[in-house]
Amino acid sequence: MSELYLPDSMLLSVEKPGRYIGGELNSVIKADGQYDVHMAMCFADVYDIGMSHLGFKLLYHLLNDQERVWCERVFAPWPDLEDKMRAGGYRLFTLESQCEARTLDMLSFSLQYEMSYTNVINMLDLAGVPVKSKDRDESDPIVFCGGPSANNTEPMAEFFDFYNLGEGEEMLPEIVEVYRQCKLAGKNRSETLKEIAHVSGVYVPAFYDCTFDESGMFASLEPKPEYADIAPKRIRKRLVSDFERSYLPETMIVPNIEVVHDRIMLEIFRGCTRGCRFCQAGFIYRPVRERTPETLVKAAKKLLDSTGYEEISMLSLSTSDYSRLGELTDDLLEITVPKRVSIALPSLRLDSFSFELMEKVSAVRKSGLTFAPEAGTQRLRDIINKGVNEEDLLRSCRTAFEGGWSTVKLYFMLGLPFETDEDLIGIAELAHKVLALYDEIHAGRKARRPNITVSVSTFVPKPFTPFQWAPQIPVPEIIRRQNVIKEHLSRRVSFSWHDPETSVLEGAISRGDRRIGDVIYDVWKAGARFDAWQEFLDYGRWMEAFAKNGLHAEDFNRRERGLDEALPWDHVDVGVTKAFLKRELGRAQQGIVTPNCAEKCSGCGVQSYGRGICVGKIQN
Amino acid sequence: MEKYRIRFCKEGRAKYISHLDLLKVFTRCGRRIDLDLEYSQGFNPHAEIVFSAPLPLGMTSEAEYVDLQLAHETDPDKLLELLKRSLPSGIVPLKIRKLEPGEGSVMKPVRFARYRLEARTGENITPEIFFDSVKRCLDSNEPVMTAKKSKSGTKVVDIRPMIVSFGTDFKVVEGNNVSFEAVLAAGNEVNLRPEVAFKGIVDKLSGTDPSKTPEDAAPGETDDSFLCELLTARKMEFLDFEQKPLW
Ligand code: SF4
Repeated sequence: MSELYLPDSMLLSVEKPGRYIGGELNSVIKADGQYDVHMAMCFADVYDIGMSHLGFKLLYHLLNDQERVWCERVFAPWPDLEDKMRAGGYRLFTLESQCEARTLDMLSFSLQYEMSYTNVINMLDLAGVPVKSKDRDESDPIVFCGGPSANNTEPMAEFFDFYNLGEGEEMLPEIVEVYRQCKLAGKNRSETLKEIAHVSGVYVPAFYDCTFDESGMFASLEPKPEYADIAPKRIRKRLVSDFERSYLPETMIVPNIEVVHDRIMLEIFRGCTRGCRFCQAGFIYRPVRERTPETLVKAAKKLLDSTGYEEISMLSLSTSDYSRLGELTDDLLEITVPKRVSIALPSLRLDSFSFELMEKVSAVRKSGLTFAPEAGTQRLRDIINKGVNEEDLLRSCRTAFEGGWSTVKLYFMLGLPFETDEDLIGIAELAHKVLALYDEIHAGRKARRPNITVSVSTFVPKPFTPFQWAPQIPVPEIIRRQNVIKEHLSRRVSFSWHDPETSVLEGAISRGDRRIGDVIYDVWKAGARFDAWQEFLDYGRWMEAFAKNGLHAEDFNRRERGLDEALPWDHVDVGVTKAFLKRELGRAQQGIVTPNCAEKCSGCGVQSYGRGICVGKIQN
Repeated sequence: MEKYRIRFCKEGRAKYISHLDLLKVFTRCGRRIDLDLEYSQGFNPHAEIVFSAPLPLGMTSEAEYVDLQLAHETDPDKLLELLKRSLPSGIVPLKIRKLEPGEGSVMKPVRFARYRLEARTGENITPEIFFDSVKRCLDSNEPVMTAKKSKSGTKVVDIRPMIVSFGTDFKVVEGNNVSFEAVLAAGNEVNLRPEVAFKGIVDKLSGTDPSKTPEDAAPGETDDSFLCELLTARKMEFLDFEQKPLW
């Protein structure tokens, strides 16, 4: 067993030292000579968060299943440890071999949310790797990224040597193999990058030029003439060729300390049929592709045997939309019951069938039910294409209350396009109807006090959605709208909301262009890290960094974009066409609902891949 | 219902697994090897797994114990083999025995524990002088006052009665690093952690006021040559009231 990189005295003086030691069950150690490529999956947050992401763990095992590749893990040290590491001259290290991350061949970052970007830079700096791509030389690792927020490549373009766009399961092994060949052939850094650029779905920012017009607006992003032969004008997202047969890990690291999601996660399908117009995941993960219960149960069995976990959770964007949910649940129960393993069914749409399922798996203690109407009125729900109506919601609540539930959490979004105060008041009214229903059902009987929560997050317009052109409301307006809800809400309903400053920063970065990179760099220089954690976020520091670069956050988050304007993410082709997104925006304006893919294909463009739910659908 | 007691080592990276997390580690291991662990009744059933007293985070040990309650009788040797193969690295089962009906908890007879400690002594003092001073200090039977945490808060108390021996069997590891043994009170009633004993004795030798940290002390007030650092601690065994080692 390798020695630990940090001294015991340092580890024992920080919170949760178990974050930094590796050695967990099913983590992978390879001996010298067993691999040619030595790399790490990096997560720009602390261990407990990173180890809760299925995608991160899946790619870790996938890469280690490749011959001649050893993939380790790297996480951001919590600030208490980082300060001590910097004071003692220690560098960012890997968990498995406990070596310095800068000695590796490749560092692959998984980008899950914009507010982790300062952590990416901080990790590179702590590793002793030049933070900007242009400053790295032959002695440095190649630094690249993937993941949902990598789809807008530009804000972090200067920091990564390349991006992989789309699903990593086939792409990553291909990239690593190309790298391996280059390494064995003794190719230098720039030759290697050119080779990697040939892999479909790869974007090398340094091969492209951005231009801006006189008014300072983004104008174009084109391959530099000298790279025209290897840098495509548009980079098309990669999809796995056959989802049913795609990589499903048979084993998974079991953390020794508590992490946020500490269970087996079984991805039952990818994508979402619903097309809620605010939801980026609903567009970038298209088309819907399901796994069969047979495949899933087989995988679950192996995972149970190799991890001993006490819980299996089905993972997808909308569990209820899985076509064989009843069958899968029954088959899983057969293997889980004898082992005292419980099944979790998250993001279930609550209808009578779901209640039956929940009873069966006794997944939900009679304490927590969640509904996500997202908007307070039918008008606005139609605008955002959220196919939930009040009747359904109240019917579900009735079933729940009659079945003994007393705790309900209602999720809404605030600041949606075309939102008025009426919609906000509608949120309060809907909550009151739920409350009245509870009182009605328990009238004249002694009953538990109902526990109803309204949780309101702030809408952030995202690229690749019909609302990618929409303005985001500013902080004072967010606060005003939060107050409108608060004022109208009965004291018997609890209310929770999100920090407005985080939302507007996320808004500015997620639709930013390449210049935002300078802002992120400067704010990091000024000490920013762990911005996703409210206790560390300093909004003023961010505003100063914008000002220093002569930029205004409002130009990125507040400004309504013209439909014909060039967008900084136009070079990324996620399959959904811009024409479709425009059409969807038009339908939103008119309050017209678009049917989900299961009912009817709306010809979003993803049919061009010829996979999943699109196959055999009549396009229009 | 059958109970099995296992003595295990906790070492290497596993020394950073907390006592609380250890329960999960064993429950999951049980599931991997298809152990028919018994579960408690009630709303939130948990596996019937009982450990010996918590080991402080960062300490290694050769004397950790766990009692597993199974629904059926099993071959102990096979069970030990399965555990060895399935537990995460650093948690190493050493031996197993089936408990007699009515046999009490592992902690019941425990009165003391023997530790092996490693420390770095001051620059201008030889290990011989250091341990000689420790011995004289203990032989004098004078009180050793130090801050000690208890359920009712931190208090400065005399820990001398909780020290059976300290600084015995010392060896020079390299340079100023020395390794030595200590036998200290352990068990459900009184318990003295080695780092607390170490600090108490070092403070006494150097003349540091136990309620102050070394930085607080006025210059010249203390004898810095006795300031030294505890590096590692390893629990070797539990002892009963006659100081006989536990199984
Ligand atoms: S092409 Fe049609 S079926 Fe396929 S994802 Fe788009 S809308 Fe859905």
